[in-house]
Amino acid sequence: MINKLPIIITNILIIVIAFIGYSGMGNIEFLLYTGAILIVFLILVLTDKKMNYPKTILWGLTFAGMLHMLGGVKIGNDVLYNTMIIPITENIIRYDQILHFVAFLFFTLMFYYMLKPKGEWWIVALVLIFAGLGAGAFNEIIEYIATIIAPRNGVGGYVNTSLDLIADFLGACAAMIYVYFKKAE
Amino acid sequence: MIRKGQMPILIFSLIWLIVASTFFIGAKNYEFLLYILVVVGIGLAVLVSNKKMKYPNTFLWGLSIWGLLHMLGGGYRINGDVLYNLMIFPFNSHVFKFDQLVHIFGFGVTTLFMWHILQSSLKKVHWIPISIVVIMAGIGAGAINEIVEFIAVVLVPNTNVGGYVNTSLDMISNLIGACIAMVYIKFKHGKIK
Repeated sequence: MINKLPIIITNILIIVIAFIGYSGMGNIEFLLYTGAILIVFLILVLTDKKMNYPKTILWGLTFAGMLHMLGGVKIGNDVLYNTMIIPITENIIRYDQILHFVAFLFFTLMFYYMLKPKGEWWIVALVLIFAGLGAGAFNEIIEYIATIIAPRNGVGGYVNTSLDLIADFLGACAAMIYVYFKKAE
Repeated sequence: MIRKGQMPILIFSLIWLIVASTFFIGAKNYEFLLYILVVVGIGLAVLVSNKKMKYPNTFLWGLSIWGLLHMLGGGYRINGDVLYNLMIFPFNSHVFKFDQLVHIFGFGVTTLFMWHILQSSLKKVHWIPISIVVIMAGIGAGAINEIVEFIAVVLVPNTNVGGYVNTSLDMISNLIGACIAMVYIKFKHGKIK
């Protein structure tokens, strides 16, 4: 656990800064997300002794958590979440979708290392890609609940949710491609 | 291809597929004719892989009943509206509809499938991480369904699917179905540690 101290300190800093920042702004939506990040962080800390998550994955999830917390920062008239990064269409590719890709790539990797499955590659890949996407769907359920609790938040909407799920799916696929090549080494 | 006790499942599935196909051709319901093709594709994939994967009969019955419920949901009309929109227990204006019941059942069955194909790959893993991954895989399959529906909405705007509230409630239903399936798995396979 001691060798993972920098990861723990980084996460605590992210959570504390986000909590102070969004409390000051009165941003209920991002306070809810800070709470969600805190819960994920605590689960990982409490289960790490048993699961021994690789540091790469923990740093990856920390990075995703930081991107998530930065998403509520105002850039001009809008929040970073809505910023267009590579304008392919009116809605694609936004910061939001890149974050989804990165976050659920690392969640899928975490699921892989939780089970360390030994079976046929295509079966393991199929289940874990679905599991990674499922974690994304779970996130959308939380966002839906957030839209009910804080109706003026920046998430939700049919197109946004659907594009988020597609980004989650691509991230999960990328994770299993990584595992495939990593195993081949 | 057909294992012990599975012939009744095949006959049951063929009967409702023929009836539903005839009905949807007569009604010129192309959306549900497309779903019939999807069901036939899934059925063939199950038949071809059955010898190797040894699907349990519970799962196959569940899969067939899910297909039938889906066809009834889109084809059977009550008071001028499709069965999918029928309010079963009116908790609020959106909950609890036949659509959500089918999602609970269907993605519960899908979760059984995820467990079945994954279990031979697992060695000495505690049941909590297994449950998390299997439940997430179940709702992930549901999310694939929502992605397909989104593409359908983009390509064919007048489908009976899509919409933020509908999609979110579908995903919540999928989560409930996946959790129920995992409880069933835990009781049925008490040896999971």
